[in-house]
Amino acid sequence: MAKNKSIYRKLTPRRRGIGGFSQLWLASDHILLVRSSRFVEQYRRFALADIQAIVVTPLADHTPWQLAALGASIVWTLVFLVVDSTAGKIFFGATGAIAIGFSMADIALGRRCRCYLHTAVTRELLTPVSRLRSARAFLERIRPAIEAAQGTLSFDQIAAIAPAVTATPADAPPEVPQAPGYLPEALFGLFLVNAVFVLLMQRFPNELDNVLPTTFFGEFVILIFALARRGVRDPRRLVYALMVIALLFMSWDAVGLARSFTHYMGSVMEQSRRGRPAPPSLTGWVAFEHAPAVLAAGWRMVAGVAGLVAAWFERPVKTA
Amino acid sequence: MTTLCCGGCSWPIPVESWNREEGVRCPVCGEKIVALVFPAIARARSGAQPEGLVSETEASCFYHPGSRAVVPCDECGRFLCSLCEIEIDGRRLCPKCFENSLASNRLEAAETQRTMYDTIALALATFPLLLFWPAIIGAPAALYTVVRRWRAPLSILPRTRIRFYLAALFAAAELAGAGFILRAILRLPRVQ
Repeated sequence: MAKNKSIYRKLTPRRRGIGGFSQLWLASDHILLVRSSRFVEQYRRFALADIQAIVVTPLADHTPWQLAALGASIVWTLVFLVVDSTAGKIFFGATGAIAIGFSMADIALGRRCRCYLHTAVTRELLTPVSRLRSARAFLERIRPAIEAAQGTLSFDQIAAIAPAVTATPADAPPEVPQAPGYLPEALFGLFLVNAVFVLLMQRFPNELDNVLPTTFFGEFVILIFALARRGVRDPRRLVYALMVIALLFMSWDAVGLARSFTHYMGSVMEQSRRGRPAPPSLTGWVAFEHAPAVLAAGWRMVAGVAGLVAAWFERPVKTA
Repeated sequence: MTTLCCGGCSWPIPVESWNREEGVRCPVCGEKIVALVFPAIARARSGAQPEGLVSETEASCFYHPGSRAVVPCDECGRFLCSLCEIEIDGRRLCPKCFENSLASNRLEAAETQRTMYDTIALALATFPLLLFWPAIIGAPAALYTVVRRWRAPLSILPRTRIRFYLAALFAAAELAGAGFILRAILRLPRVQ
């Protein structure tokens, strides 16, 4: 087999995505950025003599989220201990192991960053350089190559070209007002609606039992989305503290629901074992007994009202 | 002049923060930025200007009769001024020859895209097999791609033809298997 001679040396490892990968290669006089969709490769070349600057910026530290993802993966994996069927064990074990692997790899790779390459005509995001560690390795390799082609820029030279660059640290940027949105309000409103549902369920168990899991799931999704989206967008504190507390109560509700559902499934199995016809749907499942229902409705009422009041008072005042 | 921006908030990076080994905090988002700057940033953005003709006896550019020729095209031999000269792969070409070379894939250094026919052949040989019967179409298509594109240039990066070999092997095996199944079906005793 004839060996394919190449002028390129690998600069970064492949950064793989769903649809392909991207990678940086170094030739004697240019950098090659390869974007591959597996079936087609696209090339962008940057002459070493034309590169004006490389800027690396770390992105926000996501260690708590990464640890939370790892914890969730471990919990998911441990489900295989409580599942009886072999297929279930294999499913939870395999998917959990994969999730743990990804989470650990994400933590091990370190903090994320963005790396931009500037030339006179372009500002290119170097997607393969996405972690601080790989960025440092990339800079260590590329800097001597660029300096060999261009020389170095002394601080005197930088000072000489400084007047051409207008921005200084003294020029504070104008504050960009960001609307905090109404997601928290929607969540607390949903708490109140669900509280009513839980109470009505005690009166009409067959009609509302199938609705509650859906609305509870909606609560959970909106809550997680609101917490994740908050960032610097929303300066309010109390509403998010209430959300975290609500998350704990929701977990308690989820445990109660899982317990009652397991009990219901057990009774269905028992009935089928005795040769009796099993109920066709979940109509026989009582999601909450009386006491848990009062608790579920009560905390939702309190959280809903307190959250709406807090959201009202903490909402930043619009300035003209 | 190019303005360098923070990758997080797009705020311009102050000149005082350039080329600091330890990095500096962005005045806006507070992230520690490393901005490596090179002499090209101080270079004028305009390219070489062509020189005008001094006397009528001087050779002029084929495309700009008023400009002095500095080099002939390595492909067609036309005289070119410094504005028309395109230096690539160690050769000096006129714009027309550059376009022609690019269209006929003779300029590897200017290529912006390549199709990976070996990966396509391998995909044709393997993916249809997942649904079994589509392999009857996939295998001949894979073999055709292997034969038709065997000489097509692969990636400009280091890459062997192993995918082509594997595609041919899988496709041949699938066709042989299909033939075997067909033969077995034809040999089945007819139900009266």
